[in-house]
Amino acid sequence: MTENAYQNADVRFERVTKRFGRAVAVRDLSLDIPQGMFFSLLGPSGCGKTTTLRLVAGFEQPEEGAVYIRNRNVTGVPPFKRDFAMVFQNFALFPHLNVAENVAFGLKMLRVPQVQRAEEVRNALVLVKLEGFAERYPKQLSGGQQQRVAIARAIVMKPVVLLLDEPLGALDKNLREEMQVELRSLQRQLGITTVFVTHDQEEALTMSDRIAVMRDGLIEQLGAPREVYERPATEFVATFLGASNLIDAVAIGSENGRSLVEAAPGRFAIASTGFSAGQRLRLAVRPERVRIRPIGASGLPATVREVVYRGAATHLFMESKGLPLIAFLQNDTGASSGWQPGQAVSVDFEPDSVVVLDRTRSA
Amino acid sequence: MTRALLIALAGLSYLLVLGPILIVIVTAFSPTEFFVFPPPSLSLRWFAAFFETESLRDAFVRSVWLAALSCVCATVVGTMAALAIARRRGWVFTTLQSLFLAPLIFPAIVFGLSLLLFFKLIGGVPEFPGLVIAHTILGTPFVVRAVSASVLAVDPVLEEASASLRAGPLRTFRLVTLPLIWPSIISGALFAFILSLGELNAALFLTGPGVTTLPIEIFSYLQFQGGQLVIAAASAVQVGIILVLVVAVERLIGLRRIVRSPS
Repeated sequence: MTENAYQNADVRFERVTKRFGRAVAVRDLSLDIPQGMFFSLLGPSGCGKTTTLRLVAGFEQPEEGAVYIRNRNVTGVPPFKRDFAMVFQNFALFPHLNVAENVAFGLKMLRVPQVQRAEEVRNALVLVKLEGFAERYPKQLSGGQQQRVAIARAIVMKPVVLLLDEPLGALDKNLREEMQVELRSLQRQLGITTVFVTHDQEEALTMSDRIAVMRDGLIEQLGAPREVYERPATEFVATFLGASNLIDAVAIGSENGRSLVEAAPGRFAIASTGFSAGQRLRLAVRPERVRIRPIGASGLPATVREVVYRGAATHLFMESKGLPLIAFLQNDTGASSGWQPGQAVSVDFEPDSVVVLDRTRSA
Repeated sequence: MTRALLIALAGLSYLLVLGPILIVIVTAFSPTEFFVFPPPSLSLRWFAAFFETESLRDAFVRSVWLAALSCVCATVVGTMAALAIARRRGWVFTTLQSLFLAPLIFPAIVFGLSLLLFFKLIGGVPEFPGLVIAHTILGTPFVVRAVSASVLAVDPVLEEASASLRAGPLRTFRLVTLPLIWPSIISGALFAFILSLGELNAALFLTGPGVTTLPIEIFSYLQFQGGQLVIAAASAVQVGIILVLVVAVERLIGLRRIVRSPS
């Protein structure tokens, strides 16, 4: 990280380790989250993403390392003295307070004068489109409305960092997709640095500026959504974010600035270079990058096993000399139609859609 | 057929529970010298007699004070204990939980005796403070139980939410936890009060000449003077106090429920 990036980091982890008994939840984590960024922590349950978030909040304290919120070392500082706000998984609205009282709660704690407080509460409720609901109690609201109250209650605090702990998990699918877009545009509008925890890869891809994919307390890969999706660094990332065809291959040489590899189904070229002949490689190809042509065309020979119509796309499950392959074909042209189980086909992919995975960290 | 049987059974249960109490209360309003049921007319004669008998009146006032004080102590101690142990796991807290609930299962008469011996051992404790201590200990389990149940029903995330909104532990307790558990604190306190008001076994050991509680006074009055109807009036007063409290608490908590879960 450059000096400049360090200056602008709103959240900073310095070699943080957190254990629960013998289990290590977060291992030696160093991380900078720049100002204004929508940053997602993505991973399966137990990967340490929630613990990481709770370390920012101060609900957990690290055994080793330091946590900073906007250049202030908050290690050991209790949550109520840290400059953050949080939207909890099940909203955690106070059931004995109405909407306005819920939203005003934090402002009261900050001793914001009554008049200004009422004004800010009103503005926050307008922002989340809940004006007119001020007198309602949480139980009288739908899940989506409760969600908005929770968001209003957090943003009214004008925190340095907004923490979102799977805030959309409790909503049904349609509402969730709607809230994803809304939350994201709200965050852009306010420019609040946001840390978002989710296990839903689509949610992370939709909303984030950057995604940290976590596993076993470590960040496996950190990057922009497109980068993480299209250039997965490890097998875990390649399979956790969407589907991937995983192919074991051996480098056999190079030609025209490309490497030639040999796998069970045959030889093909990949864009990455710098391998010594005989080096074993683990490759990943996204199913939507796989092209299918009638047998006889150049490519790897394969047999169609299953054809699944999915509306927008057709999924083709194939096998090539014992290697299972999947292809997602868009249903926009004729390309996807007409394939039958049992049919022999020819499979190929652009050399630059093949990603070489880091074998030292493979599953 | 089954339904009729169940109704009959329910009716019988109510009769057995409420019948004797009703008889005592109705009798308390009797104008006659001796027990006649039903009384030929109504009068407040025995209530007057009750309040004019100095020993009964003193004992009554003392009992109400005792119940109020021990109820407050038991509520404070029991609530704090419940807050400390309800959510924790591990053998230490399981043991503490059992200890706090022990007075519920311990025979009060044995408890009274042991407390008396203990007071002797530490050099003596005056009767009234001794009684307050005893009834606090006996009332605490009711508060611990009621409050523990409701503390467990409060989502700990609400307290984290409060902390995330800059409320320190004390303000979180006052503004979030307490408003959510206070109905159970009140109902625990009510139990402690009622228990103290009617407690006889432990009080037997801890009262002394001139410092008696109403149940003790009623007990000895019946033994040595035999005036049944003034005792009926005393009982009616006790039942009256309890009824007023129960109705008041019910309205208080009931109202709170309406505010909290409007449908």
